[in-house]
Amino acid sequence: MVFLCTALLCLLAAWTCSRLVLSEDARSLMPDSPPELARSFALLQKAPFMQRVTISVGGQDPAALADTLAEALKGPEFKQILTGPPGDGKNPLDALTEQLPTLLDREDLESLDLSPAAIPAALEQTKKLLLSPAGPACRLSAALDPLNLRLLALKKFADPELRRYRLDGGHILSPDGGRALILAEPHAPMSDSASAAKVMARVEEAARTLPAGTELLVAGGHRHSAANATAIKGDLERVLPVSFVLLAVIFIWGIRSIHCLTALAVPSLALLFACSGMALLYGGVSGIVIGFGAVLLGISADYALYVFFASQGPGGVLSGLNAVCKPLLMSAFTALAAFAALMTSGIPTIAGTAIFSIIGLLCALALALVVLPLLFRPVAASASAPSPVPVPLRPVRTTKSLLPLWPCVLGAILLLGAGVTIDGDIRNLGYSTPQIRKDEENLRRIWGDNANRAMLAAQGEDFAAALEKNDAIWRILHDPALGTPPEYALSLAPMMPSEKTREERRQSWVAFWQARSQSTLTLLEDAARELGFAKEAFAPFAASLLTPPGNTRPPAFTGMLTAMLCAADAAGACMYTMLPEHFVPSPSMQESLEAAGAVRLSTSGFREELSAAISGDVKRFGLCSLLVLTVTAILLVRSPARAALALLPPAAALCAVLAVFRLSGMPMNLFHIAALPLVMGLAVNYGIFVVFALGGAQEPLTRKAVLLCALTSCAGFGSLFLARHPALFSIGLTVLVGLGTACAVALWGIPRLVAKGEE
Amino acid sequence: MRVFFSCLLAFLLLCPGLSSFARAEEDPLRLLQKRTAAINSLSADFEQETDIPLFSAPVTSQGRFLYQSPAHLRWEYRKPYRSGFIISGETGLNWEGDQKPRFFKVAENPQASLIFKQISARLRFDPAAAEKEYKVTLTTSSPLTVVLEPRQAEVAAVLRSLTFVFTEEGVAESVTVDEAGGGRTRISFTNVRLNPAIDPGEFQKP
Repeated sequence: MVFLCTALLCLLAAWTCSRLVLSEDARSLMPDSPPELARSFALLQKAPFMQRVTISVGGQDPAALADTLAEALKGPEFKQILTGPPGDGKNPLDALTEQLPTLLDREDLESLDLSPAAIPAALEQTKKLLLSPAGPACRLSAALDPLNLRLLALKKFADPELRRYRLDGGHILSPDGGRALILAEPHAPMSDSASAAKVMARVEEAARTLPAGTELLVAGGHRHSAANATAIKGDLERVLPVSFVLLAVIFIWGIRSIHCLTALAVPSLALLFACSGMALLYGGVSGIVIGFGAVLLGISADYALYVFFASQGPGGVLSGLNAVCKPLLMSAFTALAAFAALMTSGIPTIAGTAIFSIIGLLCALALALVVLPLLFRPVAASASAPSPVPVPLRPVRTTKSLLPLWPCVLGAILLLGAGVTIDGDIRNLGYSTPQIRKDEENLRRIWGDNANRAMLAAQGEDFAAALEKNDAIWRILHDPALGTPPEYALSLAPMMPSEKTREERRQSWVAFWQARSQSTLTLLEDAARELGFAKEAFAPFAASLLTPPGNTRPPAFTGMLTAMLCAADAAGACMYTMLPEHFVPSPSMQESLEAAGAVRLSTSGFREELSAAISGDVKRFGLCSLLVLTVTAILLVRSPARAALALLPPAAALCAVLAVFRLSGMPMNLFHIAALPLVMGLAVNYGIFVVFALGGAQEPLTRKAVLLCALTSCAGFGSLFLARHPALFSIGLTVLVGLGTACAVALWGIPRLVAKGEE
Repeated sequence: MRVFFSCLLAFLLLCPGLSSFARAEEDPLRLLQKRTAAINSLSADFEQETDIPLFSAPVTSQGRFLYQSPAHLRWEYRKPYRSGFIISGETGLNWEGDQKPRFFKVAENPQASLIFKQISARLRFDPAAAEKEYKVTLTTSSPLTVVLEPRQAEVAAVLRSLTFVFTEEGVAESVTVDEAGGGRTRISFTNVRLNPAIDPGEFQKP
């Protein structure tokens, strides 16, 4: 009956597992508090440059190469592919000049010098322009704007980074004309790793249509997601089999019978049930969590080993099971307590890892205690095999060296811990190839570093509402009463104001010129005659002063800017204003910006905030797990002396890990720290088992069992050393160092700290 | 700006090569490609007549231009207003009257970069490359007249055609810019000299 139920459960778990979706989402590494941080991250992720794949092509005719690639990219993966501003057959300068009534505000108009001296001077400038090499392109704008009012509008658009873009024949070219830019917007968000892989596969396929020797640079979140997913998939394909093979070798060496196969089933099924549980609870799970399965294999294997050795004892299976049940439950309890401590983390990947491990360990425990005993029969050859059955608790008298040892260990932990730095940058937890880093560096060099500028984001329920907020932000940034304005601000506001602002400006334009148009036109006419202009040369300008301007459409070239500075989805639209990274608004400006609904985003600032949040999170769950382990150990061993001995392995493990990081100068990342409670949870197990067996007849056997268990755990964690992904590698490194030390202290340290006569 | 530079560049690429066109028997554009390989410098005076609807009468300007390989260019007006610009390697400057010249980096000035690249690429004239941007037509052989019509809609919205006229000896005589809006600018070149020694100071200050 038990076998039947187990078999059915296994089949069910296998079926559920087949529905598990692997996903790599940077959001799963984000702490859920403070909420402002999560909001900033969401807005940062929505930013157009984050959501798009940026491609630069270089060669003899970059515009043609961009067209070829854009054509090849067309397909279900991308919803928009931009190679340049959509053309409307108009000269951009003319289109801009036509918009002047809605681009200039009252302050702009009032700054105009319309004196009898200024108007002829402005007109002379216009004549010089018309005679210059730029003249043929300025005929219409000169007729519409002989007083050069457009300079006031252009001044607002003086972003140094835009100098890097050259609009040429509907393409965006680099200043030297050697490269063209393509902005491709995929349908899928970059957090969807499966779709990101398809997007990148499409890019690679399209790149094959380019002639040999073409320089191709690709960057974007999708490339990172795809690279991470590939790396983790490769890691899982490598780490899990290696971990399994190592376990099999240890089992064969330790068990030396056919029962090793039965025992091996426990960690394997624990992994299966853990995956199945995640599929039922969440549907999808990060590959990092599944990678943790290697660790789970190592820990859950211990339970099978303990039960096997107990069942091979002279008292038979039932007697052995009775004897092993209590320490096994204690061991499981400490491991579960360590994982439960991880659940206090606000970082979804860490909390997910804890849930995954708890499900796996509970299943392994149930299998080891309920199913395995039915399968194991005493093996003659292993009749003398070690059993971890502890002797009844006996008083323990420690040597004098234990008392000064603890302050030394604690001092070392504090000293080493104070010198270790924490790296909270989640970029360092992601996998990135040298080629990706090189491409990104080259793109920054050629096209500027948009990703590292500060930003103000304004969200609205629709495009119009977002434009209104965007206008308000622009006004606040340039209000001298609120503080020093930024050196530059790249925003849609100067070129594409909201309808509300446009209407206000139309009214201001009419009101302004009502009082001044006659005198201005008289002065203009006199100056024009003097400088040799035709009588009707500026009729379009005169008409624009005397006739209220209509509701003209924004120039076509603003479409490109919209693509660069606006993000829209079902939830609404978001406008981004790019600012210098170092710009810090005055307190009053900041207050006004917040009141206007602006959220300040800065990738470097965000990293700092994230680092602080992660540090806070790891301190919380780290302290929590330390507390849980200490209390658990004291409750289980029920004596301060034994507790002092049992807690030595985890303390030594912590000390060793900190020493490695302190001496190597390597900063600890999120996963190094997340692995610490696990190390200590397992290490305290070794301490408890050794302390339980001290002085008894079982002590040598227990020590062998502990060694075997440490080896299985190290095999599980050690296999993570083979991982390319930084997160998995970090866990492997920490646990291997910690458990190696804990094992040595438990097996060789603790016995030497017990007074001889009292053992 | 772009349109005028197109005229200027077209002049630079056509003028020296076509100067010996009359003496050639093979395909004139291919011959032009061969001849331009030897150009290192160029200087000329010019008179520009701007006849556009905005002016009540044609306006005449005078000036000169200099080119030195690999990437030095000076274009200046002397009458009726003093103004001009220089591109010299990675930097450039422009000026107006007696005002202090304004310096710029060519890498941060797309228009200047365009000139920079076009001159170095097109002085070694490549008919195939010219054909990509313009429809090139040899209209008459005496005097030798070449008409360039832009292919890009954006340029064609401003510029209808560029017409180059050369003397019997193959020296560029004029370039006429016919604008899409009806205006016309004619630049007549005199004192054209191929590969003269040019004082480097000409490319350093107004």
